[in-house]
Amino acid sequence: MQGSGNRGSWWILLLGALLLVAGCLSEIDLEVPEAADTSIAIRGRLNVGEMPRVSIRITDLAGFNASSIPQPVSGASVVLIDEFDRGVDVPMVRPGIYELDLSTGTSGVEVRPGRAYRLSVSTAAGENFVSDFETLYPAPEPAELRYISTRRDVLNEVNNIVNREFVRFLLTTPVVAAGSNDRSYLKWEFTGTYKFPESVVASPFPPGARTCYITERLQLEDVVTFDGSRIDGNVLRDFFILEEPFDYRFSNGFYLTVRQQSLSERAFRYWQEVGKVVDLSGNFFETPPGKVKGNFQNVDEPEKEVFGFFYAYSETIVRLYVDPGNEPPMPFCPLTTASISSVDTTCLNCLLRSGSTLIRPAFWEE
Amino acid sequence: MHPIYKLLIIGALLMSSVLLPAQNLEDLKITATFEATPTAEVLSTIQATHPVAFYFRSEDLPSAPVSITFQETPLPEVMNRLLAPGGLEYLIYRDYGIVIFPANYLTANYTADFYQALDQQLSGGADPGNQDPDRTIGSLETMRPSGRARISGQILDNQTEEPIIGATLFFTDINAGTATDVDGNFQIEVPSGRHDLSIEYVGYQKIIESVAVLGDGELRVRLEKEAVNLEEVLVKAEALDVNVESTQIGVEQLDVKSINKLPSFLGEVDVVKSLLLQPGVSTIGEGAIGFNVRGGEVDQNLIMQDDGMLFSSSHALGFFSSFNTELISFVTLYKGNLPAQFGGRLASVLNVEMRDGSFRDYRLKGGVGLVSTKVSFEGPVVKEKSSFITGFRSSYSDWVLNFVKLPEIRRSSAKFYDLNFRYTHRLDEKNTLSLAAYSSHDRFTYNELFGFDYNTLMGQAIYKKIFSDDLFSKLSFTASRYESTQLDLDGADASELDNNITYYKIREQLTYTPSRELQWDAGISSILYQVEPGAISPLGNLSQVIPGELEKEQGLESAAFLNGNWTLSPAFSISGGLRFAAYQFLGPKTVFEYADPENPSGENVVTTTRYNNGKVIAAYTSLEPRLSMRYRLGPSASVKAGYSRTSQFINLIANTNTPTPNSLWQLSTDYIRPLRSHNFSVGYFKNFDNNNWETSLETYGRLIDDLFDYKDFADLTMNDQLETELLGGIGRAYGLEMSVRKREGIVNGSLSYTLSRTERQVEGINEGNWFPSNFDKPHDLSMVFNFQPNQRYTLTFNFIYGTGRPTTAPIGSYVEVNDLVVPIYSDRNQLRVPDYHRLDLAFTMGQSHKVNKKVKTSWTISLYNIYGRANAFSVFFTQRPFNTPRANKLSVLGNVFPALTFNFETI
Repeated sequence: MQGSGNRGSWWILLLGALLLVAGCLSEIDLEVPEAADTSIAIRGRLNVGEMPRVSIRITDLAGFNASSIPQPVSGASVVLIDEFDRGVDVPMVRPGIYELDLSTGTSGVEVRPGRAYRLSVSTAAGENFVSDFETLYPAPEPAELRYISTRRDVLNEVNNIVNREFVRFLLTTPVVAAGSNDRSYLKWEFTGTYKFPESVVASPFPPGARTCYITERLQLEDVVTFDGSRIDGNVLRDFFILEEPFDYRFSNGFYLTVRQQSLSERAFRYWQEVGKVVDLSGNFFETPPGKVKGNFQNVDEPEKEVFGFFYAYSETIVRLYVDPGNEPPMPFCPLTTASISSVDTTCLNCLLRSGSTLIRPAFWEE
Repeated sequence: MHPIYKLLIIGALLMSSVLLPAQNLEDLKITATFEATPTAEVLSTIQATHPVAFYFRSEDLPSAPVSITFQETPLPEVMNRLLAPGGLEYLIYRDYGIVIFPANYLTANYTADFYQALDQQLSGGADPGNQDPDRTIGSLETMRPSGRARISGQILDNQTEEPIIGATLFFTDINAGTATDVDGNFQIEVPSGRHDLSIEYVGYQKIIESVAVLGDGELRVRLEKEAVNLEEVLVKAEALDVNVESTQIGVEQLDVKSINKLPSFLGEVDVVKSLLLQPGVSTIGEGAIGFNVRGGEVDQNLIMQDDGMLFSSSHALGFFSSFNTELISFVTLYKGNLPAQFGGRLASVLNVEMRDGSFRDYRLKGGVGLVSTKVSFEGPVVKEKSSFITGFRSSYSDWVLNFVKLPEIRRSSAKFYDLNFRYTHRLDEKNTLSLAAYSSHDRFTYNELFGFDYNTLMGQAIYKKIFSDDLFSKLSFTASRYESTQLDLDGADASELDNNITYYKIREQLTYTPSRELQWDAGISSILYQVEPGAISPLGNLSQVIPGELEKEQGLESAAFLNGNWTLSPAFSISGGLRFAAYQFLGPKTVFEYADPENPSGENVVTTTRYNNGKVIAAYTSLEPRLSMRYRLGPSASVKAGYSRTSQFINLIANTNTPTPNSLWQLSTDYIRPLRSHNFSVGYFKNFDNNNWETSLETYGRLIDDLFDYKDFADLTMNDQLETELLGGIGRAYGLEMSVRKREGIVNGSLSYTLSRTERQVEGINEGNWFPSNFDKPHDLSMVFNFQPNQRYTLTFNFIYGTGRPTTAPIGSYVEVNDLVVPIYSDRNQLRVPDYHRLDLAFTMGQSHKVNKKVKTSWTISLYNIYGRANAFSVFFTQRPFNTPRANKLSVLGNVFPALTFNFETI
């Protein structure tokens, strides 16, 4: 749940303060054991939403050491199978990545809510893997996405206390999808799109300055989920899903895109466990990490560990425009120092930014 | 022997020794003639005409008159002819008296020692050349047939009337001694006669006096505090070798003076931190709640304040312990080998006895530190009859938070207080009633986002009765409630989560000491637990939490015990006993039934069964033998061995690095079985330099045949099927403990080292292989160094070293479709955090030792973690897309922590 992941860090800060000095976090060198064997990780998802498709990524495991890079497993035969044992091949589009666009229909396999699917993977090395069946559930349509502004004191980059504004996004959604009687297990993913002029000053824009639209994933390191059975009614109201600092990204307009996904209970548990292991801070009250168990099995050697998960979900999308208001925050561009020589080069060429385009997104309305 | 005969013997002989001239009675010749004269009259006539005195009960003498003639007849023959027909015998004592008894009475009941003692008593009293003794104990009337006398009594502080624990009484002429117990009481049996007695305790004036021990009696001594100078500190009196002599193995005793000397964190001296300097006692790091004893978990320690159990033994999330040292009488830690009097936990018993207030004078004592203050006040209610003592501690740390730059911290709050009160009433010399109350409160809030709130309330009534010199009774009743609340103050999870535990305990213990070689302790106890495992309610408008409450649980734990301490010979002694524990998990409750009860899971619930109030849902019994033996290898060495079986019916549910204030106390149920363990110890103890140097070497083992661990990602909050998140297993712990201690001198201190392992084997974790427990620390070393050039200044260092505790590390990772890096963790606890070490210093100055000074003050400066070691509490791993994975350590304390405390005390 939102907020719970950071609780331990807060505790440490509090305790540190009580002791007149903050507790400290620092990097250390540790001799970490390597993985015992060459296990494989298969991650797949079947998405029925704005862009229905099935995507699979197959690699071996990355070791803990920096030099260890996961190697893609190419040349595998990947088949999406429905509960009637009908299958459709999923082709490799890049090394280790297998995808199939479902928007144009598939021969033999009908993808729709209420049905269950699984993946079968046979590698070029002769290993065979199969996932458990995952049922596709319909996703409820969010009723409202809104934001509120809050202000609070924080430490800035040079350790001074400043009062800053934050944007807190609240979502209202039914937890039961139309035509369904089941309460949904919900998961959300977020992207932010903002307009970014090539300028380091607020006004006037330099002649020839371009305007980019930059899309970034938000809250990548957190997993935000909700079990629909945890509320009394059928509507989850003003659920606090995300908070972002009101910074330069909001200066010329900002769109938040929320992808609401409806998962199976098994997939929901998997993502909860992933959420726990990616958000560790070593604090007093933290639950010790464990192995996140997937739903793939090695057909020939069942005792051999296979990592990763295949799941199917429906997705509904809701967007919200955050108006910059009358007084856009300064600076327009994320200046690091007052010196022009230290200005982020993306301020002068916005296309250098990852996820940047000069084409205005179709949803962008001003 | 009938008392009248004692009086006849003793009184008569005393009189005769004074009144009659010296002459050998056996040589006395009698010449007299009696016709039809009663025997009593015959004796009276002889007494009137000869230098001899007769003592008898007239009803013992034959009623028939006698006719008899004596002509220069020796007195023994006279007595035989006169008394034999009537079945009487006589005793000639020295030269002057004859006591007449029924035949065979004396020889059957009195030993040679009796007469020897009697002789010594009387001769001592009769000889005008002997000086009067400084003190007389008992009377000849109370002398035992064995010729020995049992002396019992108490040693007190003359000013405060506080019992002095560990004061030594030593009869130097016969090389026999003892030490006072926790109430300042002692008991010793010595030959009747004149002895030289030495009574002493560190910091008090030594008493050396001559005592005349006539018979059983009491000795109540008040020691005066001494004004000590350098020379006096250097004087090392001969101390008793308690560590070598005691039968019990695996015991650590702390006195408050030692605790107060140690460097303290933020100036607050602490019982638990002092225990961590003992071998076999460790913790996983600063800020961890509780402590681990010989590989036991935190909840496997029974924390006792008098007869009451404490479920929360710390404040401020473990940084301060719950005990106010101003009110403590003594602290004893039993490690593994518990006497039969104690039970209900696997690993240890921490027995903290609180003291009575002064029965004579009012006294105020306290300390003011940077973040907390403590004060105690005591005195008589009715002088010498009843007393009170109360103590209060409180933190005021919020002002410190305002100095912190982080705004989140400035919006936070942390407070605690605790309050103790004790009233003691001496009903008479043999009956004492004590009423005690304890209350504590902790509250933390962080950034107005979340917090913890927890309270303890405990009341006790303790009634002590002395039935006779041999038989004592202690009856106690305790009622206690522990409440904890976890507050989430913001967002969708905003809620208040409560869990509480209440218990009522009654306990009776009888102590019977039929001889100096044997002591029996027997008793019964019963505890009714009532647990409220969880109630949650939403807070604020944004909360999505559904209010709910888990069903309450209750259990009854009862026990009967018998323990004997038996000195078979001067070299060999045994302390052994048996404890029988019975536990019942009681309704009302709805219990889930599973298709596979051995592996309960949410998916295989078959049905539920409803149990009404008081109905037994599950019952367990445990027969627990306890044994400890000591064999002396000479005047200053001994070997000891011990075994105990222990069981535990209530456990802390905490799948976290350290328990939290909100961790749930879970009773044993039909699925969660009691924990049980076998505990073994063997040790060698050797003292040097008149017991000033104590050394010991102990090895121990523990086999736990029932324990549980947690499944990965166990969900423990508001879970009415907790058993589905647990896995059963077994455990083992073993180790070697070494310690060296110098008790006194300008330079003194201790060194403790423990080499140990603690492991467990649980089906479902690490493929069922043995793996180290969370608190497994193979090497654990502590050193305390005291430099005390005089009583005004004390400089103390302590150094701690320990192997880093086990943790679980990622061995690889994969990237999810949404670019989230998912670490893959190794088997549980396969890695260790870096080793722990720390050096502390404390300097106390200004301690006044003028006896007549009304107010004493002192300052303590302490530096905690002098070289600023950033010890790792934990390590964790972060890996971001396209970035190098990193190992991070979390250090709770990364710098040196200074503290200044002002202490005051009125006399």
